[in-house]
Amino acid sequence: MLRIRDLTLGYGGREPVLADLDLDLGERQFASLVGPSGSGKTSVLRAITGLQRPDSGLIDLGIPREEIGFLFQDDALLPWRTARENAALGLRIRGASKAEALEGAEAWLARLGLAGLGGRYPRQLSGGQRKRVAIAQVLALRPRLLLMDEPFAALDAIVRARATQDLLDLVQREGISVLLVTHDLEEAIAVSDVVHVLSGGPRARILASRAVPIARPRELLAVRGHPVFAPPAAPALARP
Amino acid sequence: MNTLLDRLWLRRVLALGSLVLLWEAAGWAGLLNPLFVSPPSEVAGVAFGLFADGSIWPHLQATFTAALLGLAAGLAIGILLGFAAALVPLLAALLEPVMMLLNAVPRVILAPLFVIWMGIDLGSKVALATVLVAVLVFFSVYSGVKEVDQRLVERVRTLGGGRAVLVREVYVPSVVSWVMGNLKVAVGFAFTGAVVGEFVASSRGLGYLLQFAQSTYNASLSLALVMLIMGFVLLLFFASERLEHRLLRWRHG
Repeated sequence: MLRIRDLTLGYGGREPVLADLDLDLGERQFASLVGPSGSGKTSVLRAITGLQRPDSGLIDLGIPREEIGFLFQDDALLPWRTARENAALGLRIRGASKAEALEGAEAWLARLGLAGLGGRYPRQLSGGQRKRVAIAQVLALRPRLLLMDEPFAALDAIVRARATQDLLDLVQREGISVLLVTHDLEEAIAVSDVVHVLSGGPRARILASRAVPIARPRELLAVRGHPVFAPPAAPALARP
Repeated sequence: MNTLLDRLWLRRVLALGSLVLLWEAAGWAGLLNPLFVSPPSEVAGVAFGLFADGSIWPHLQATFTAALLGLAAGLAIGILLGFAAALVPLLAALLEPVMMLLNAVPRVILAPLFVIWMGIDLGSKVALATVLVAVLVFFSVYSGVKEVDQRLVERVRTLGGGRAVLVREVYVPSVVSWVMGNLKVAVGFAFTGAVVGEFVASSRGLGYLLQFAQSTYNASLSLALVMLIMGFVLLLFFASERLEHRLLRWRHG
């Protein structure tokens, strides 16, 4: 579905923030790109969607660009549109009639636990609710590939856990491929099939790629008990 | 919250009332020379007389027509040029220096020139009000489009939106909020243009009456006219505020 080869990304002539990245994402696969701040994680997603031009390298999309959904770090909803209108925005842009788009948006809002809140403006919603509107906006377009840039980073721990679980359930059920960028290794392991770990920038590169041997469907709270999360065994103390 | 607002209003009314009473008392006590400052009761009497004998109406009509036409034309020109300059860099390079120059000088100095070009009738007053408003609105719109939240632009682009969608969904609403924020100032500018234009040369209007009052050393009439203009501009400020609340429900809701 997505094949990246020798991708180098920078900001206008300076030393590249990330260099020679190779990455593959299969159909229905959930992959994470984990790395510290400044390792160019977000830039990879921006390059895939066409928001940023790579210095060099190949991004081979096996699907049309319209089938990619991008969930930003901040919710970036239009403040002058209601939650329902924001959720319907993508559908309207893709040519759906106003009635169809609003109906589709309302259904997604309901699925994400926002039934009855469609008439509110973003400033009248909590951070978690705004995030769900942003998710509804993207999922209403039925993307086959979802790019997520730490979408729940700004939320408090409980809301974040619930939102992540809901999103995980949805992508599993809908069979959506996901590329998540995050700096949280534990979160990446809990949700992903494959985790790619980036070094720090500049010229960040993949240090390791590991498959996560946890079966699906997953419950985030339950998977934390899986042996992959067990701390390394303490070395036995030798008796004097 | 309501109680607090009520109290604020009450405090304002009390402060204004006290000032008027002090002014009146100073007049009666002979502390003010009526040739320069008439007491409020006399000013109110003159204002009432203007309405009672109907002599004020043609002047009000002239000033309001010039101000409102200037406001409408200034808004239209400012919005159009501001948008065009923000979206077409070549146009920005041409327009920005001219607008900067017009913004830097007190634009009322153009009043005599407009009178020479257009005569003493309505046209020269509308032109002055238009120039005053258009420059203000141009910069509001130009900055509004330039400083639009780039996260919203990127969001719309990733959803598949092109230039037309960006203009409709992001730029226009951003600019509306900027323009509405400046509407009250624009209303003030439009009246300034109309009244100053009439003051320079005209045969009707509140500015003409002011000029007449000054040339006949009539302080009561001058003060009555100043109060009337302030009252009308305050009314228009209130109407602008209501319009802003209506158009920017998302901000105030």
